[in-house]
Amino acid sequence: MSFVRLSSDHQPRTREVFLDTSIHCCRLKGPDFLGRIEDVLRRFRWKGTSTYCKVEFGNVVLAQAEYYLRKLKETGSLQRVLDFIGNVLPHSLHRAKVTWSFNLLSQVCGSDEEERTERARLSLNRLMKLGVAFVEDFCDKPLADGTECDYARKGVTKDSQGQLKWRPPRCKRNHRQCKLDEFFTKHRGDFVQIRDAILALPSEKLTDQLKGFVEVVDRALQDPRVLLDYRDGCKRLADAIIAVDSMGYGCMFSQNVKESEVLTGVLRQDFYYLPPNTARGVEVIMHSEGS
Amino acid sequence: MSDAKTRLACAAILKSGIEHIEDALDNDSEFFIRNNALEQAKECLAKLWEHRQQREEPFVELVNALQCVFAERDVECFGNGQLAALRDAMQSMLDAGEIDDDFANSVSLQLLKAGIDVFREIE
Repeated sequence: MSFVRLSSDHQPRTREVFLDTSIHCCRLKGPDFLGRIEDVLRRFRWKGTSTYCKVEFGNVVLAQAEYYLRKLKETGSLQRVLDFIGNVLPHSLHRAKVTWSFNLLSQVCGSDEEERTERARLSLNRLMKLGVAFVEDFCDKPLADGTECDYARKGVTKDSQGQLKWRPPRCKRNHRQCKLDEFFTKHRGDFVQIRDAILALPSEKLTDQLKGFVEVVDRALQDPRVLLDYRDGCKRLADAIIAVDSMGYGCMFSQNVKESEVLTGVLRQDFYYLPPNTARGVEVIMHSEGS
Repeated sequence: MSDAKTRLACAAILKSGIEHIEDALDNDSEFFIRNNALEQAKECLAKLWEHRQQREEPFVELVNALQCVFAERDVECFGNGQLAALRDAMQSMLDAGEIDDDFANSVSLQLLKAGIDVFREIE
């Protein structure tokens, strides 16, 4: 199966679509993405997502917003923050901070530096206060909640100084905070199917993330509790967890092109995708029509 | 907590801004009238911004977000659906009086659902 460009009269095979974290993030990437997202979503009557996407959104976007707010407080100047990100921060180690500065900071307007700094702080504060509701309230409820992740419920918190904080999960298996191990056991067959599909891929299609899925699934097959360790388990299997949480949906909307191509193939979902080149519009793989 | 005088002044400005957006909606085929109405609405938001020292932070955050949406935009970039969402947001602010974080969240979500990215200026 391969991507085809979405035509204006395209009719999805189901009226429900599932949004991966990457789509929620793309809603903050400007009009070229936002317009195409709307073009896809107007064809559906129901848009679902996973509570786990709230955690990933926090890790990807809110963590950067929190960082920028901290730097604004330290330097007192938007320009100095942008200079620091552009000229001091090692880009190879902090790609997300650089990328998201284009989306969250560089568009800030104002008559002088003081006003631009104030507006940047206000805008980032607004985003932090909205927190994971940015994901939750955009979609129809109830959200898929197979893992019952505790961090997805917590969202943004305030520290003792009143600063808004996104705390990435630090879960350990000896302090169980979700039901991911039970979720894996319940869907063991689906995870095995995903693993087998990855192993059957030609080497040029294997990404590090896909290889990571195989390794983590293999370990989880021995003992599902390994998934309760966030860094070595849960985090590395994130896209596959969201994919399995989307079961029952006939259509998936995602920007993780290589991973989602495999995952939607296994789950027989049609896969909607926005190529970075906007001239290519929206693309779709109709896995439901495949053999 | 902002003082009553400031709240009344802001309410009058908001009301005026809403009327300008309604003028723009009523004149969607009249480019100059629509453009002029939206320019007036932007001026109202700029006046609200001048009251920021006296208003609660969630109010100022929303004014900032609305200004960013309007900033340096050509009138033809706004669809009627987006204008209606902006008008409804301003009407909610007018009705609410004092604004807290939960209220600001609900207005932000209304705008996001209408396809308006309140965290980034529309290009």
